[in-house]
Amino acid sequence: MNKAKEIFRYPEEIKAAFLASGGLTFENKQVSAEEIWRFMTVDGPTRFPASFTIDPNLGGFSPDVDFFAGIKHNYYRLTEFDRLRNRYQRGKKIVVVQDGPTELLQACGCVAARPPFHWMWAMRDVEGLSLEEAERRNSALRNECKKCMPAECCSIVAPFHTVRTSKAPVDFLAPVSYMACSDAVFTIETTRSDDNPVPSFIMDFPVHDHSGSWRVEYLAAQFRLLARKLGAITSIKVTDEALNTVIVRQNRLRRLARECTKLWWDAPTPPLNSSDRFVLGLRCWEQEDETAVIELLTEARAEVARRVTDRIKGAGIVDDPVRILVCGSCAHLNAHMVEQAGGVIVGNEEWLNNMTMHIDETGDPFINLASAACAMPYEQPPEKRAAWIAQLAQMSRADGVIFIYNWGCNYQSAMARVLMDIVKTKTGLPTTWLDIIQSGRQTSGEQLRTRVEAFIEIMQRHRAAKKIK
Amino acid sequence: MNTSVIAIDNIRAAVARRPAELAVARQAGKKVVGWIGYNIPEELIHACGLIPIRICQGGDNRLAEIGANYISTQNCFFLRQCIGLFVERQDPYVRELDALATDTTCLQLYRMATLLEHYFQTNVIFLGVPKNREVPEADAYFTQEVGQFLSQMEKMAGRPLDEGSLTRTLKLFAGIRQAITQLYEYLANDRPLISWRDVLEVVQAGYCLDRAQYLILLQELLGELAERAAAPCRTVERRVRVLLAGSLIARGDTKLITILEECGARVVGDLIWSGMAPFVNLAVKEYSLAGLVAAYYSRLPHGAIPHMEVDNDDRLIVLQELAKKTRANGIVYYSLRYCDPFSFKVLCTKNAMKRIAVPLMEAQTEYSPEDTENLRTRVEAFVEMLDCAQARREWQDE
Repeated sequence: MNKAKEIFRYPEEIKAAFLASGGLTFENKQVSAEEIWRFMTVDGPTRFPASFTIDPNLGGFSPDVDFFAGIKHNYYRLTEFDRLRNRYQRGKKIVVVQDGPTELLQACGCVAARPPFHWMWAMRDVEGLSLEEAERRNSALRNECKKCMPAECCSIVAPFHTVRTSKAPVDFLAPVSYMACSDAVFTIETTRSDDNPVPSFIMDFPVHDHSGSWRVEYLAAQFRLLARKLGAITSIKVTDEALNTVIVRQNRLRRLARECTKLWWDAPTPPLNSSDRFVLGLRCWEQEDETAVIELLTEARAEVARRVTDRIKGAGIVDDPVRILVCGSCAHLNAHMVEQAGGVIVGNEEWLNNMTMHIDETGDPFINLASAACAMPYEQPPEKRAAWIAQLAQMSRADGVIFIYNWGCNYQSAMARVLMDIVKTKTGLPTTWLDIIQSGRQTSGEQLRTRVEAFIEIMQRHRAAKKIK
Repeated sequence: MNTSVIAIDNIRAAVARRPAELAVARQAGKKVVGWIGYNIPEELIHACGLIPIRICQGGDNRLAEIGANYISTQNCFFLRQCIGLFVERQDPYVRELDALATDTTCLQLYRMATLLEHYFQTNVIFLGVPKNREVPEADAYFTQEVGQFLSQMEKMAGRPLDEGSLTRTLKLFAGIRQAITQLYEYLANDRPLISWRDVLEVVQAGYCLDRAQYLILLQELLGELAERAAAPCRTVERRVRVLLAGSLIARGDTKLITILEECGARVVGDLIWSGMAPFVNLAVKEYSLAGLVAAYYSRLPHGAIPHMEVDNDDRLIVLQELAKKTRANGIVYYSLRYCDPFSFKVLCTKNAMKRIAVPLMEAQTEYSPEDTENLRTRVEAFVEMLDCAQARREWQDE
């Protein structure tokens, strides 16, 4: 098979307009639209051919080439490890985290590396891999990690173990235990070793929601101690003022992301497809490219607003698609598969959870961080969390809700039925839950397709019945 | 080994009578608090005049299947069976519960309790357990949590906790712990008087029996064993000595122990949370609420509590010491499918045991009988390997 034919190419016809749309700013350095275009059409396909697959089922780019913020977002993602490597070489410390607010790490001058970080780092170590070669490397890396773990470990979390098995750098381990996930902490624990100890501090998230203030105080005390421990490796002493500054900046980003998402939700016709909608919830504020992220979101907001006015529909979406809200663990549904079946994804609970967070900007920032973490909807008991999901379903005008969890994820999967039962009762919408295996790009197995298609049919009938009534 | 110990028969008879006793007690206005978890200070339930019952049933695949209608099959079999018990409500202890106390040590268990609350309107009382002991606020957090737990117990009892009652309870429970520890010492004896299966049955009888009566029965058992130990003509046991560790082996979960016995192994001890583990390093030094909190706070950590340093991990240290003390030939690490707190630790436990030259085999299984023969093959091979190694050592010694 001719490899060149497999490469996704942005059409030349859009080049002039794209170049006129402006570039992005990274660490006070302007990357022009010309440079981005060159990367996305010449350097990128050479360095990362697997990312330029033409098959959207295998994770290819969105076909919506007129959405320029989407192209820039792809550039952002493909080049983020170049910037991280630079930062690391300049002395930035890499801290492995799991979930929760990352403002403190930024204030401490560290890079917060979430679960896919080390796996991505290891994957990007070798360039020029075709899709097949990348799949093989991905599989080999995961298998290497799985050797140290039980078979039941979630395949998304297992690559955490690349902390030990790859050349990816790690200066400190600081996962927030049990926020969203329980496998992550156990996996981090498997990386402990007496021959090459990495300093660590496992932040304990007190899961049960009591009315007492001691829960917040306990978490705040851990944030303070973490700041001191990170200070020991970075020589940065975090002041309340410095932390508050980061909090203010991050709140601004989250606000912008919420505005963009609301714009999409309120549009009569979805102005972006499910893949591009992810740009609106850009979750890269932990990686310190705030200026670029603000520029991306601002541009995306303007493009979406224009499309709403002009009634332009996102590429690849059918007319009047059923709107699906996706809840559950950090696994994802293949957006293309959903759209082919006549649906569109209106949001992802985990991302919306992060976007929803607002941290108070006055007073003790450590207490504020802890209070915000304790209030995150994703971490609430079933009734509260389900009430929030029902609210999201209403705001996003969803026609149905799917709870998905990755195979091996016991902490989130335990909530699947109860949340969907409550949401169904509260909203009257069809709900379901799916167990998927996400161990690489090829997540859209035929079984999953059958189930998603069947659920979309249910939603279509439900909506039709509602209209008749 | 003579297993017809009279005191064990008495314990069995007491257990058989217990459901009826509970029903009568409830009719008389007593309240029953079931508990499931790893850091519930059972003493507080007892001291408030409530009846504590530990819910710890396992080994029933049918109930686990019923439970899987409510919680996903990615969750451990024990918890799925727990839900099954609450769906059916046929279990005499579950039927008699006025409330269920649980803690947040194991997160799957915490999730399971929230489901019981939602689907079966179970009155669940939660206790938060801190997992990061590096900050002093962790101690304060646990103290506050226990305080809140106590106030809920007092509310159920309709009266405040009486200091005298607490002291009496703490002494009683200290006596039980001491008796169980003594009982375990008989297991490792070269001339064993009791099997691990019996010891586990005795320990698990304590989940439901009236605690004062239980202590009396334990003392009778220890007395009888002491008498038998003094008898001269017992033979030295030569079977392979195996120590059990890992996930809990709940009442009714007999697959592994049956296979071990059939393969000719002898279990000389355990470090599991349905056996000896709850009694390890749990010493109430001061008979007060503060003393109780301190004891639970500093006890042997459960597998769900992360610990990042290998060389000072109490769980590994205690297991190494136990392996030496019991002169175990090997360790069988019970890994109940989807029990993450223990299944993730297999490798590091194996490495730690390698340092003291004690081989470890992971026995991963579930409640369904389908893997019985697979497990048997593995256990047989492991026991045979230990047997050969022991024979070689004896031959070299000679």
